[in-house]
Amino acid sequence: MDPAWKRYFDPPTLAELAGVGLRRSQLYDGGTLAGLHRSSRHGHSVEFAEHRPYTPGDDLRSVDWKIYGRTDRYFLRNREDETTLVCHLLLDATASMDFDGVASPDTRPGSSAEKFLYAARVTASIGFVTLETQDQCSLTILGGHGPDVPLGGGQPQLQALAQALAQSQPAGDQAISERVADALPRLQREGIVVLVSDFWDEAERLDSAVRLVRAAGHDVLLVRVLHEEERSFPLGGMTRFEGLEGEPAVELQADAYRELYRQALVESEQQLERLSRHSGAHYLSMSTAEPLGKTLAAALHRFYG
Amino acid sequence: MSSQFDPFCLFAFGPFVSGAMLWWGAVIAVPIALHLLLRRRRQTVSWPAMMLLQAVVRRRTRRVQLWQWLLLLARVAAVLLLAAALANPVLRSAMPATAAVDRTQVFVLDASYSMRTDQGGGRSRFDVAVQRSVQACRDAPPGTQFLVLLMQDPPQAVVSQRTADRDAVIAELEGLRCSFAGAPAADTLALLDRWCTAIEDDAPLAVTFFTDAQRRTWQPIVDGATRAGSADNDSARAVSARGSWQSLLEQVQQVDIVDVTAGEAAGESNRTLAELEALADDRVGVAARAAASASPTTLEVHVDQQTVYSGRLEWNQQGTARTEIPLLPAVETTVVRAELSEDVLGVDNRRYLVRQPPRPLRAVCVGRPEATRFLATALSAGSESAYDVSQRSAADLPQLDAQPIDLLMLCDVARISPGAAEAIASIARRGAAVVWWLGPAAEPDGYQHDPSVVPFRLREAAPAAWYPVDPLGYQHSIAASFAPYPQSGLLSTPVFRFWRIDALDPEPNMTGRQTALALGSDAAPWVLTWQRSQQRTVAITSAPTSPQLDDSNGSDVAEGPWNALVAWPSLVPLVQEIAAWATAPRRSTPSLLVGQRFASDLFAGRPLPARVLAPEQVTSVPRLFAEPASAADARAGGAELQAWTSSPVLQPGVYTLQWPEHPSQQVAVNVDPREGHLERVAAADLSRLEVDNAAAPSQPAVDGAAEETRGGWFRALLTAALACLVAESLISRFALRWQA
Repeated sequence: MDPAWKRYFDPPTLAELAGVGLRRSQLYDGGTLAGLHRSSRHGHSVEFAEHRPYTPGDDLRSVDWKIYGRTDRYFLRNREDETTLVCHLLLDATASMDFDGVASPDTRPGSSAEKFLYAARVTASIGFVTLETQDQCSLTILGGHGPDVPLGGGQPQLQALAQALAQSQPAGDQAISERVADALPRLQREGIVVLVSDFWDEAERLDSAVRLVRAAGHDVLLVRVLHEEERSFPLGGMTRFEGLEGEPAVELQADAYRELYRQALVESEQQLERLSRHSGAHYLSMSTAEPLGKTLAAALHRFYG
Repeated sequence: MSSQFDPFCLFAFGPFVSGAMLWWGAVIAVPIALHLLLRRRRQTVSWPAMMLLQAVVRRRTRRVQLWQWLLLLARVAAVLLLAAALANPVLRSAMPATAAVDRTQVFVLDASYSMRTDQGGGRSRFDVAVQRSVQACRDAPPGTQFLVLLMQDPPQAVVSQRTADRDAVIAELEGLRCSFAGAPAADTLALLDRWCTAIEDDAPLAVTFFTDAQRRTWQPIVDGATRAGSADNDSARAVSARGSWQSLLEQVQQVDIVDVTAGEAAGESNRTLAELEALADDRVGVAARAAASASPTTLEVHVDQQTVYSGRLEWNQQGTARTEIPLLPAVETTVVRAELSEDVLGVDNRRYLVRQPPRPLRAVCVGRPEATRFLATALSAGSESAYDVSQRSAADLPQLDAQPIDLLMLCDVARISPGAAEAIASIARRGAAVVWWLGPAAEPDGYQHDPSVVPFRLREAAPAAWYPVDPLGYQHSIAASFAPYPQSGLLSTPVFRFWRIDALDPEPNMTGRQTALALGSDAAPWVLTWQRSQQRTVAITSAPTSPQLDDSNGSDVAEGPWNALVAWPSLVPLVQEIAAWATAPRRSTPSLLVGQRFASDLFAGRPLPARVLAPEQVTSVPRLFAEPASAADARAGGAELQAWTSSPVLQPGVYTLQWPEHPSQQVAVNVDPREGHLERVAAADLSRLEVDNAAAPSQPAVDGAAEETRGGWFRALLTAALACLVAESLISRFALRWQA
């Protein structure tokens, strides 16, 4: 088995994700292929949509001949079209994702840190769920280094996803909101934008970015991935904190600030939830200490049924 | 007093008695270092959630940092207070007047009359000196004891016992008045030396001079070392002053010289009336001095308050001016007062002279007849002559002692016998002028006598040549009379040979030796003068003799004449000018300079006066007193009358001495004109004299009262230090922990 595949597509995790999938919150005609998702376009599926009077040029194959027989008038029988779902996976690869915890001094720059690896796995898992239902997905690495994966489906797309994630490295200090805005024009078709990030950005700018994505016709799923130490703040003593994205260093007595930090983190989570709710997006917060499969499956089930 | 630095002994510094303990203040480096060290002992982590962290820090850091700074402050303050407590502080307000010896500050104020120079706005240099000394007294650190000395002639100890009562010292300083005398540095330094020696403890001693840095006062100190090998009298004083200065430097910690003329605007130069003397019964000579660029000034001469002359005085290129004022012969004793117009220093613009009624002056020419006849003739020639001239041989000299003589002319005497020397000394002691004419007959070893008798040594006769006469700028009164007639031939007398001589000083307090006329390109003295207070001596190194008429000295005939004086028209005026200058004091009553004393020597044959009447403006009347018997014997030579003297005369003017059995006598007292020559010593030389030994004395002893005062401060500071430590403990234990 390809090592990259094994790194990102863990079979037990994939097993836990069986049966869940992404759904659009409204009719969707973004897909070019016939698929599972209801489309706003009328097609040739078995699902009846409506009758309408015939107008010249209509396809005669859609004429409901039984009604013509009863009423001697031409009516067309419209059926709902079913299409594929498009999922755009956006993975935050800025430097703040390159965090392996303070207890791991062996972390080398350029290697995938635990936080970023976890986020990559989340991305890959959502991609797997999408492709499993014959839908299509793309991958965009926000910041850092790594190739984007254009929209595609099937087994090759899974392989491409694994390869791209394996090649990606977190770097750079541009805010995630700006990265999203930059990437948005490259998203070719409407679909679901899954943004996996730590969301260390100004709330107002994040709100603007999400609304921008929503305005482009996409559904949004925000997945926040934080390292467990980011949540627990286990440090003590005089500590000098140096920012991964060039922020000015801060020196403080760490244990004097722990509770305040945690309280601020909770407030940040609540702020993101509020932001998502108001923008019509879904929000999922995950920690590297949590089991990925169960957490993600529960959340997708909660969001999309 | 040791001048070596002992780093372990305690020294007073500012308000601290044990200033060395302040070094313990360096211990503040410990908490600061710990503070910094703890800050350095931190872990550094890379953190992704900086945005969150910064938001938290913004909320909390300000308060935590405040407490941390308070903690550091408490630690530092505790250490500093502890060090200050150990340093034994004494605050000025708490300093008792009888505090222990910490430092002795000597203020030496230059009170020479040049300090009376007006700096503008009616403020004199002396006023500035007083003001700055008062300020220095106020600024002195607590524990300082003061001594105050006036640098004048004679030096005056104003505060001679060390005192810490600065109010009293300031009152003394503010009550000081500038003198009318000079300020010989040697005398002042000698007194300072005695003071320093008398201070037995090891308290650091600082001396501050407030002076106008006049060359006359300070140059002897500056020159002392470089001119040590010279034999002239000024150099001897310079060496003495320099020696005293070195001695002072060895004993004191610091010497500062405050130049009170700093910032003084360069204004009009000073003019000094240098001489006023009766050259004849019917004329007085006036000499004045100023800067070469000075504008003409007005001279007024008053006789008994009546103005008899007023005219302009023009300065020559050397900045001097001389004039002779004709006066009616005095019928009785008259007071002559000459005044220049006012300038920046008015003291030296006025001189007094008390003329006596005319009387024939008895002149005796001693020598071979061939030598004396020309001089006797010249002396009695013309209407100027006021001399009763007689000619005597050298063998008669011992018998002349008992005779009243005003002018003794020694005309080319071959040898001076011991008896003759004693007679000359006796005649000179009575104030008679002595004129030495040195000709071919003189034998060098015949003149080897005490300088008080023969103030020169014959070295060698110059080889035969034509030696032109150099009037030396007509500076001397004898030459000045010839100045208006430079082309007249009066000073173009041919001189072919002369004696090269070494001039000596008859006594240490010689007021002046000057060459009136010189010969040749090397300006060898021809007419050389000595002036003591009331006696004048002149030596002429080439005497008028005629070889054709001199049959006693064959060698002289062979070598030819020494000069052509006898055939030259300048003989009479030259002899008369020399005689007039030499006998000028005999035409007036004795006169003194400020700082000198009335003494029996000046009034031969008179006992102790009943009293002294001072001029109206004079506030300090000299006190008269009989000298101790031993001193009197030495001075009076065993005379029957007891010698007497007075305290120094401190102000110029005409004083009257009254005797019950004798008529009163007026005495003119004038300022020393040399002090009016306002020329400063080079600033670089002055700054080189300043010294800061920076020696740390040992711990001074403290008396009970001061100990008690310091103890109070010690306890207060110690308590404050402990309070700081408690605060530190509370902050670190509760405040910071609570914040954490």
